[in-house]
Amino acid sequence: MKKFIAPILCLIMLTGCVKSAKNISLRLMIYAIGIDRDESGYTVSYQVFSPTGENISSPVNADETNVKVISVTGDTIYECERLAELQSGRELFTQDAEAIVLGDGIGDGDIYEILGYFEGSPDVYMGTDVICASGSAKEAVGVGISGLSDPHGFGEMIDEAIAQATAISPRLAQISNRIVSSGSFILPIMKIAYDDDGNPYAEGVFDGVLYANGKYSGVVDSDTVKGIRLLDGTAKTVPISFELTGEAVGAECRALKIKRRVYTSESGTAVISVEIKGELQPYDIRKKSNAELLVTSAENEIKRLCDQALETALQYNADLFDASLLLGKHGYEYKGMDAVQFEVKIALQLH
Amino acid sequence: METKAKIGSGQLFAILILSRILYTMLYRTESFSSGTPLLLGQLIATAIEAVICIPALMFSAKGMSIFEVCGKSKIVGTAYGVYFTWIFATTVCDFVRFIHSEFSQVATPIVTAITLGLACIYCACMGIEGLARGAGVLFVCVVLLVCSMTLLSDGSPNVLYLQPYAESDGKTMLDYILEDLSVNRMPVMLVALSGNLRKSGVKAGVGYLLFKLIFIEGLIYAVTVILWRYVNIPSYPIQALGAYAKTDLVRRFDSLNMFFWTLNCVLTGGAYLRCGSSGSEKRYTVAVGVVGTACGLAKFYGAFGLDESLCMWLNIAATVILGTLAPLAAQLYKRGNR
Repeated sequence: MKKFIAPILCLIMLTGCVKSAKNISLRLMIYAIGIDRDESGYTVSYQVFSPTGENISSPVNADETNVKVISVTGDTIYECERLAELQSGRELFTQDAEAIVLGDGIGDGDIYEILGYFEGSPDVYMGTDVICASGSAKEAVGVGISGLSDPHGFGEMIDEAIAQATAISPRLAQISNRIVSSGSFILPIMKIAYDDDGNPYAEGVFDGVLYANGKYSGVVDSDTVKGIRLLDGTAKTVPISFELTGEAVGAECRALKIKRRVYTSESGTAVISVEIKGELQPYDIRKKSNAELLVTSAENEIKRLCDQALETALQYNADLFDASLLLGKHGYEYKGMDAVQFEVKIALQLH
Repeated sequence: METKAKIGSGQLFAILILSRILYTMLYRTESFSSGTPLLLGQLIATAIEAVICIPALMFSAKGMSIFEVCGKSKIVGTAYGVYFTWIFATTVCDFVRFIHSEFSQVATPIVTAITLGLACIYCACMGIEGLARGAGVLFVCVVLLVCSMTLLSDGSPNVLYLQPYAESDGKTMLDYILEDLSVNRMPVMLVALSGNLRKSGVKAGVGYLLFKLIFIEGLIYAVTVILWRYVNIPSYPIQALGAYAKTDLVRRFDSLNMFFWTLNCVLTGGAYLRCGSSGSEKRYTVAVGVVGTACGLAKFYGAFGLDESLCMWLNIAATVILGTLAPLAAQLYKRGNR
C-alpha cells in the first residue's frame, strides 16, 4: 500500500492544471494579435486557429488555411480579451502567438501601455515579436490568412527580415531591455499591398518605426536599419545594391565579423571603433572581372549605410547601437550620442 | 538511532547541492538585479562558506556522529531538531508562496502545504538511503534541465548586459552575500548526516562548494546575458529562463522546471525531516513533519511576525552555531575525553 502513496501524492501535487485544464476545442488558439487604437478605444483582432473540418471531432482539412480573425472593441486590451472569450465561448490561449501587430494609429503613450500589458501577462510568450503594420492591424492580421500560405507566416517573415538585416529583432523581452537601457528602439513594419482585385497581401517586413528616447520619431528605411545592424554588431548577412561603371549591381556581404571596441581620442572623447570584415558575393559573377573596383564600391556602400544610421541616431540623439552599454562596459560614461565618436573600418574580400 | 543506513560521498553531495539549488530557483528579482554584483557576491559568499564549514568537514572526516559524541544529549538533539524543523517550515512556506503567486488557481495554500508535508514525511520515512538514491537521480535531471534551458533559449545572449562593478552595487552585493549565507545548510547537514556516511564527507563537502560556485555563477551569468532587466517583470529568473526556452518537442521548459523543483522540494524537505528527527523512530519524523508543515503554513500567513531580515540573521547564526561551533566543540570534547 505504501508504494502506492508516492505516485498518488505526485499525481495530486503535479496536477496544477486540473482546475484550469480545458479540452482543446474549448481553447481559442491565437496566432497573432492585432491592436488598433482610435477615439472609441482599442480594437483587438485575433488571428485564431479555426479548423475547417465538418464538425468538431472530424479531422482538420489541411487544404484550407484553418484560421480566421475575431475583432473586438473595448476601452482596454483586457476588456477586449474578455469580450473575445464571450464572443467565441472559448478561452484565449496566447502562449503560441507569434506576433503582436500594432496598427498605424498607435501613439506614444499607447505603445508603452500595450507593451506593459503584454510584458506583465504570464499568458504571453516573452519571445513573441512586436511589429507595426503599414495600415490597420486588423487588416494586417487578416492578411496573414489571404496573403500567406500558412498562419505561421508572421514569424517566418520576421525571421527572414532579421536574417537579411532589414529588421532588428523585435522580441518582447528584447524591446523591454532596450527601453530600460536606452529608451530607443525600432519596430519593424509589415507592409501591406493590394492586388489588382483590391485584396490585401503582405509584401514583407522591412523599414521600421523609430521610438527615440521614449517618443515616436517617424519611420526609418531599410538602409538605416541595415546600418544600425552593422554598427551594433548583430548583422551576419547584408544584401546591398550599388552602381558599378554605370550599371546596378546586387551583392551580398556574408559571414560578417564585426568587432567593436572603445578607446579615448586625443581630444579626450570616447571613440567607438567598429571593424567590419566579411566576404562579398555578387549575384552576377561576370562582375567579378573587375574585382578591385567591385570591392571598393561595396565597401563604400556599406560605409554609406553606416553613415545613414549614424545620422539618424544623431538627429534624434537616440542610442540605437547599445553605445551606452558598450561605453559602460569599458568604464566610460555615456553622455548622449553627440558626445560619442564612431570610427568605421570596412574590409571585404571577394568570395 | 539509524546507524546501519550508510550513504556514499556522491549521494551526500547530491543531497547537499539539491538543498542549495532549491533556493537558487527561488531567488527573486524584487531584491536583486542580475549582474556583476551577484557574480562577485556568489564568489565571496562561497569563500566565506568554505571557511565556516572547515570544522564540519574535519568532523565528518572522522566519521563521528554528533549525537553519539554528545552522549545522546537531549539538548544537542533538540537544537538540531528545532533547526531542521524551522528550515523545513521555511521550505514549505517558500513552496506555498511560489505556487500561490505563480499558479494561484492550483489549490489553496493549506492544501498545497499539507500535500507537500505528507510527501516529505513519506520520503523521510523511507530512510536516508532511499532519499540519497533519489537525490542522485534528481541531481542529474536538474543539471540537464538547467543546461537545456540555457542552451535552447530563444533569447540572444548579449554580453554587454554584464556591466562592470560600480560603487553603487556594493549594497546589492552585500545583501546577496548575506542572503546566500542564510540559505547555506551544508555545514549543519554535513554534521547531522556524518553518522550515516560510509566514508569521509570531505569529498562531498569540497565538491559541493566547487559545484555550487560554478553552477550558480553560470546561472547568474546566463540570466544576465539572456534576460537582463526583463527578469524584473516575471520576478523569478530561473522560471523565466525556462519560459524563454522553446523547442518543437518541448514547448514549455518552465513547466519542466516547476516539475523538477517540486520533486526537489519533496526530496530536500524529506532530508531535512530525516536530519531533524536525528534518524530516530518514524513517529518522531512524522511529528517533526507535522510541526514543520504547520509552522510553514503559519509563516506563510505571517503568524510569527518575523521580518525577512531577522529570519536571515537567525539562519546565519544557527548555521554558525550548529555547523561550525558545535562540531568544533564536539571534537575538542572527544579529544579531552581521551
